[in-house]
Amino acid sequence: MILSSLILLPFLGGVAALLAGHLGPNLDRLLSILFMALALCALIFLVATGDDGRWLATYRQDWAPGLGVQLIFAMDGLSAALLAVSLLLGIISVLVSWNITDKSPLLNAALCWTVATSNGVFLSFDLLVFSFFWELMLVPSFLLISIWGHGDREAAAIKFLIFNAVAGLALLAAVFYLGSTGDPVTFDAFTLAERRLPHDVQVWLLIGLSLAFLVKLPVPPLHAWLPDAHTQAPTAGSILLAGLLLKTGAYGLFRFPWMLFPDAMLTLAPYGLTLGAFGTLYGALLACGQTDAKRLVAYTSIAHMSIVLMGICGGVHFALMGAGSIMVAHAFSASALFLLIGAIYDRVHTRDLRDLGGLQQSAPKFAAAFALFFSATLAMPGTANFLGEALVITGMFQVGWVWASITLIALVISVVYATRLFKRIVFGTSPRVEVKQDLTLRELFPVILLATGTILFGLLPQLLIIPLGPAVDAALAPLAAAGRP
Amino acid sequence: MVLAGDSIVFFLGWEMMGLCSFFLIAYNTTSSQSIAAGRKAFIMTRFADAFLLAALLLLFIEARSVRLETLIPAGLNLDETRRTIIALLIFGGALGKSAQVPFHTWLPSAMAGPTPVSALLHSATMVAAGAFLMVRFYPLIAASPGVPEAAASFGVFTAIFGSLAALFQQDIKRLLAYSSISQIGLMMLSIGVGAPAVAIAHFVVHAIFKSLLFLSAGEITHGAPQGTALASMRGAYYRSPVAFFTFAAGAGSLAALPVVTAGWWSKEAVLAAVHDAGALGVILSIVGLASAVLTAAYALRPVILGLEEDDAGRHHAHSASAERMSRRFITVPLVLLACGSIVGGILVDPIIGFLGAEAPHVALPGLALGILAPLVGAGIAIFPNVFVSQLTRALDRGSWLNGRAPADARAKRQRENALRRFAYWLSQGAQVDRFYRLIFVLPFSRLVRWLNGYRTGVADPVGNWPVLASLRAYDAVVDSLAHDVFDRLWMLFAGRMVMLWDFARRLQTGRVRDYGFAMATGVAALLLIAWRTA
Repeated sequence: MILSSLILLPFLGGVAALLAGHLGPNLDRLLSILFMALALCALIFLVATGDDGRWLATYRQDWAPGLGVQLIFAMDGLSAALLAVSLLLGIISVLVSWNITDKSPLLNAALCWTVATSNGVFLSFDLLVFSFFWELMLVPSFLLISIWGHGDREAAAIKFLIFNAVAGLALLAAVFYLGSTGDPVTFDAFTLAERRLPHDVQVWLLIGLSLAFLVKLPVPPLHAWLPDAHTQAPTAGSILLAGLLLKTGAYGLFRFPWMLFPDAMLTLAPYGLTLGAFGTLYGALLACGQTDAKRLVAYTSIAHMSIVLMGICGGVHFALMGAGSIMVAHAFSASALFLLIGAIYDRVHTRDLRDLGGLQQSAPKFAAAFALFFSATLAMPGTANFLGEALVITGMFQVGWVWASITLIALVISVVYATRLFKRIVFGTSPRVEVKQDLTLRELFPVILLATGTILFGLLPQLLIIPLGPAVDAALAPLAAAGRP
Repeated sequence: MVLAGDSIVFFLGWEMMGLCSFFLIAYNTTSSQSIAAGRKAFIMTRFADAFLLAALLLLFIEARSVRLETLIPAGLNLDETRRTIIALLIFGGALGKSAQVPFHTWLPSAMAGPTPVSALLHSATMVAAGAFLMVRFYPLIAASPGVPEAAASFGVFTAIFGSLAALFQQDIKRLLAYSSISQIGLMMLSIGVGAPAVAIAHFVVHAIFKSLLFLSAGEITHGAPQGTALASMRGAYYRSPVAFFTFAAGAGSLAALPVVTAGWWSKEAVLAAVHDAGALGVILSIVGLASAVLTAAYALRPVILGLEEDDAGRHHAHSASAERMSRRFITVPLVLLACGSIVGGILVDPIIGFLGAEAPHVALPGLALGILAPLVGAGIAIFPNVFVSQLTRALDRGSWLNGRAPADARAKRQRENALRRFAYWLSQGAQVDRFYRLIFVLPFSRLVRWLNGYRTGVADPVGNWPVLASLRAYDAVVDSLAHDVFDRLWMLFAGRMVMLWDFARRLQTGRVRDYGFAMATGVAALLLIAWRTA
């Protein structure tokens, strides 16, 4: 029951913010933070009292027995880490958009609902409920981009919606086929995992299922919605996009393909690796040429999430462990970069790298924060990002040296784009605009939170590796049964 | 990195040095040149770091542990091919960090950073880390066939190349940078011939005298109108005697003046170790000796320049007297380091002994070094008209040949031109940068520009071409359906109905006789039917 409160509390927070927001100043913001903080407490309680076995907590309840739909929530280390990130980023995004007064109750409600729906994705193991949350997740994000976005926001929002909704349909179709063809009709992932479908059927279902995940991840060539969405979204929207929505795609890929279709996954994994390898080089190369700071970070997200794809498709312990670690690490570092760039935009109303510069002289705290997350982006040892990338590369060496060398090349290119971003914003003098005001306390607090996460997991990797262990083992367990070479 | 007991902390330190060097080289953040130098250093060393990371991770896969004491034996247990690959990867990482050929170009560029940074990072700590890495993983290196030989040959080549390039530098800091490259080449050579302890001894001594050289050169050229150009050294003896004498002590150590300098002791140990290493070692030690002679030449050149009278310099000293206060603090480390680079030689044998090796002492190389290096080197440096100065002066102005060469001596001129070009080529680090620009930088930036649609107008082609194509397909389908088939069927039906109506309408004429005729016809027809059926 406490498990479902992780979804319900943020959802109710949104409702409360929407209904009671106009009653007092900042009431909507405080209410959403309160509800998400409550959910965070519930999560901490669950983790602290959790079982030692495969799952920290589970919850099962019939919903529509005739249709075989149940509410199945289960949380292991991977979900717990992502849920913590989600709630943390939810609170941060409310803090970041504190100064937006336009329709602020709805804004805070949308932020809460994004968190609630993605929490639903991270917890659900009934595939129909999973797809329900998956589709529902698009609505608040669509609102965020189309109402509070910059520039050409409607087009970006519609692009985001079309890409993800169409891919979501493929997921829904695969889930319907999977659930309704067996006897009895059930969408319980654990039951379905024990049904061994013929190989060809598995392949088709896997393609349908992973299409949704790959678009959300996103991996080239399915990524075209992301740079636009990131660029036009408000800062809070970018933070939730990078920190949550992309992670739901990675989470789905991590959790379900190996679990449900191990035979097909063995067949398709090389294609996944190829796609990821292409994606990481492609994203990195494009990041090197961007002039919009947010767009640059968006392309680095593509590059990093493609490495996650490689890690997942690698199908060895280290690679999956690395993929899980990058998910958490990237949520911290990319969100922080979006936060900082958003803070610059609030001050000087431009994100154009050709106009910016000289942050180091006018705003030292800003520059220091930038330096930290800049080094996280290029996977400096000591940050959580390095932990993830090193583990993936280790796994790639076990899969094949070609994949390993591609990830290493991506690592070198990451220096090129990261130093480019850094030198254009922090170094030099700006010809046109100057950031006069350093980070305020309200901006500094989230930055410190994210920095703590990045460094803590970087220096104490066991904090991440031990909780992820059961999830990785479980993902790889069907492989042995599938007769992996 | 030095204290690291496991590969993760080792790599952490290794990478942090790269990051700090980026920040420090780009310390003067308003100069685009120093930022570019910082990025160049960071990217080039990161490229080599990728090799090291690969090696460490491969070892980790074998050992399932990051502890160095289990990592290295696990590496030794591997089969020969994989062991060699790992050793080569480690060697690649060392080459990059230590700015050895072919990665040597980032170090001279990095001299855009402040001089104390160069003194710290680019003489003693960061660039020497490559040698330290090789020593740390020495068992693995030694057990891999071909790798020690590769280290020795790369090392000796870098040593001689670096000292040649240093000879033709016009900037004191770039001169010292190439000197570092060359000296670390000697360390690599010594590791390659199986004497890592000697390499560490030279490492320590080199760190002392090279940071001294950087600091005192920085002190001498501080505020000079020509900046860090070699010409700023002119008249240094009269302007700042303390800095000049400490510089001279460092340069003497670099030039390996026999017995009285630390540099001679460590370099002698290196050459002796090389000499001991069989028949090939003799040849290598002769090449090393040649490099040492050249080293003496370029090391003594600024010293001799400093002794030359220079009116402008004296005048300059007056204006700089306001800074004397801060200079007092600088002289303390200078003098300390100068003492170190003179008497530091007593450290060489203990260090080698501490590392569990026997200090090699062969009379011949040490003697040759002690005699040849200072004498020939000083000869080259003192009579620059014969050797360096003419060439470099020609590089400066290019008018030397036009002004003096007799018109009929065409062949001679061509020869000299070729020599001049060769010297220039050497002084530019063999133009490797231009090569890299052609091979890596230009294709890379072209690819990036192409992907961003500078040529095609479509940025992010892989992402956007599918979008554009599907939009176009959508348009085509919508266009074709704009004349809806079903709609057309319904409209056809409607058209027929209109025709029917049109026909039926004509029946309604409004004339009584037509209606009467129709009624009569109908009644007649009905009666006919009734009659027939009854």
